[in-house]
Amino acid sequence: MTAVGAPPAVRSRTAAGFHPLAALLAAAAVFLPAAAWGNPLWLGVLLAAALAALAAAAGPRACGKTLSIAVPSAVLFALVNVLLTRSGETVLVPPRVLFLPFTLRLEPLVFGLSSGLRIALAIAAFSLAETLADADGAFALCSRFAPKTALAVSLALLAIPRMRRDLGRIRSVMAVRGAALDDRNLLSRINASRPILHALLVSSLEGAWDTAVALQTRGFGCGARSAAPAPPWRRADRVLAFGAALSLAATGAGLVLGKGAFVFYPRLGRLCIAADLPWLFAAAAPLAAAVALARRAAR
Amino acid sequence: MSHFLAERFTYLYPGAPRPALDRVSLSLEEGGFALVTGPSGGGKSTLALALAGLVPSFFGGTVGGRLLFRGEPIERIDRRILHAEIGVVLQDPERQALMRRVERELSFGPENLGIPPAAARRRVEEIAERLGIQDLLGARVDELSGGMRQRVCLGAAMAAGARTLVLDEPTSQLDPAAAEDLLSLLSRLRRDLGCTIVLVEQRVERCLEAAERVIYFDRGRPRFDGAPPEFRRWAAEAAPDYLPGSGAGAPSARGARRVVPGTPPRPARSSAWTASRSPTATARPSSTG
Repeated sequence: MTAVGAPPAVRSRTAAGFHPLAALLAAAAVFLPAAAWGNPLWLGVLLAAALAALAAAAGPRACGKTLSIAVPSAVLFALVNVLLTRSGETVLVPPRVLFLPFTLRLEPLVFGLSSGLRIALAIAAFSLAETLADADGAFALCSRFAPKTALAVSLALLAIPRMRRDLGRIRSVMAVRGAALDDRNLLSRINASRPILHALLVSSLEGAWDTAVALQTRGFGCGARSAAPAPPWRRADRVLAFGAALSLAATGAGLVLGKGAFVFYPRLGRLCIAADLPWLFAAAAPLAAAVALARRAAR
Repeated sequence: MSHFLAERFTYLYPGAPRPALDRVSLSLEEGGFALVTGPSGGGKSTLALALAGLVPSFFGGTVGGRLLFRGEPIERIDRRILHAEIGVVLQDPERQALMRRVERELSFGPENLGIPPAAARRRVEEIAERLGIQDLLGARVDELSGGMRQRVCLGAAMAAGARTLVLDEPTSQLDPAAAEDLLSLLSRLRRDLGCTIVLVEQRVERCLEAAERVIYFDRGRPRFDGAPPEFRRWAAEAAPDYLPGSGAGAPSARGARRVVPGTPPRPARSSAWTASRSPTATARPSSTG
């Protein structure tokens, strides 16, 4: 067989991700405690460990990107809870002092912060999974059990960078046409950005249509599908999986013993109990250490 | 037996006041290379979707008449069989990529058909070698150039075994060199593998060399059906704005064929593809009509 029309040289990169199961275990080691714990101190420590793991896996920039999404989400949750909740006994600021039309209480503030940390941890878990795993490999693994759900997640993750690229293109076109995207006036900038959002929405919907046609014409969902075999386990994969499994085991055992729980109302419980700290350490440290060690082993 | 046979095939998109395809009668033979062209909204992309078996099953709407693939109504063919026979390539290579890496993108179709992993891998390697992308199997799709991405999309369409290719404006986002490259690749696939190619394009000038038959669609109907040189002559008179340069130095339009509803067409000369002998279409010199 002969090649037809040799292609020009293209930057090629082989898959360097970890075994998808190891990567999913690492993400679960962040996601499970994020869903189960309530103690904001514990959640904060776990977030630090997850960010350290991300930095070890993909450098500080990946960490910064995750924080740029996670921090605003966390702050938003904290604020919304303060505005909506009237429970709690510890008054920080009485009404009409500091121009606030309501009583600012400590408990809802901490509860909101705790919820925000959970959101940040969930985002960090997804970032970690995407950074550590070859996403196509993760799809191949998960598609054995739930092909449609696995594909939906895979396509959603694929859509984010596409939308970012589309946004960049639309912004460039709008800037060339004289839109005041860099105006000093915030209102002008917001006004100029509205058509961009409209164009992005239309472009995304058209893209979704093309993706649906591609799925249909390539036979997705028309019967049982086969799946590529999972890649072989390397030493780095085993290190990562072992560390993540240790973290998960410590989280699970701690949950059975009631560790990581926290009382918010009517008054905050104790934030730090010295006897419980080894559990926190056992849940957070192996993951971060495993990512760093596995990354080194993979090199 | 015709590869594709349309008999007074009509299609209306859901809620549309007018049919996108209006009593189309065409016969496409195996191993041919047909260029379907015409103005925007003329029905050429809808024809591609119909040939891919997507209307009305995927898009909804109403159909009339018949569209047969190898003698069977296309809507009754099992989707697995259809996908194994007909590959589709769309305009934007980025949006039709479903996986991140080339190898996974190529193996997605075969896996959907339940082909065992070892056989799927063999097919992927074969098609990658055939298309000259065997060195890119580990590469990320989004790191490739537009031309290479479109090759990957072509490979993804063919990996499940399809040898009938329906391409909807695949060169519209490519630079001229990459577009030429893709067209030459299509010609070679046809020559080496006997692929049947239906290429929908609006910028026809660069495609006329590769095609052996041109079908000009306007307002949902084929207005011209014939060989590229005849199309040039016809376009010079009937659609001079559509094919720039067709008038300058073009031979006389006498002898060119124009398909007009109501009378049967003249069969194409020296072509594996033949115009339908349906009583709904005719051919006559454009100079007379």
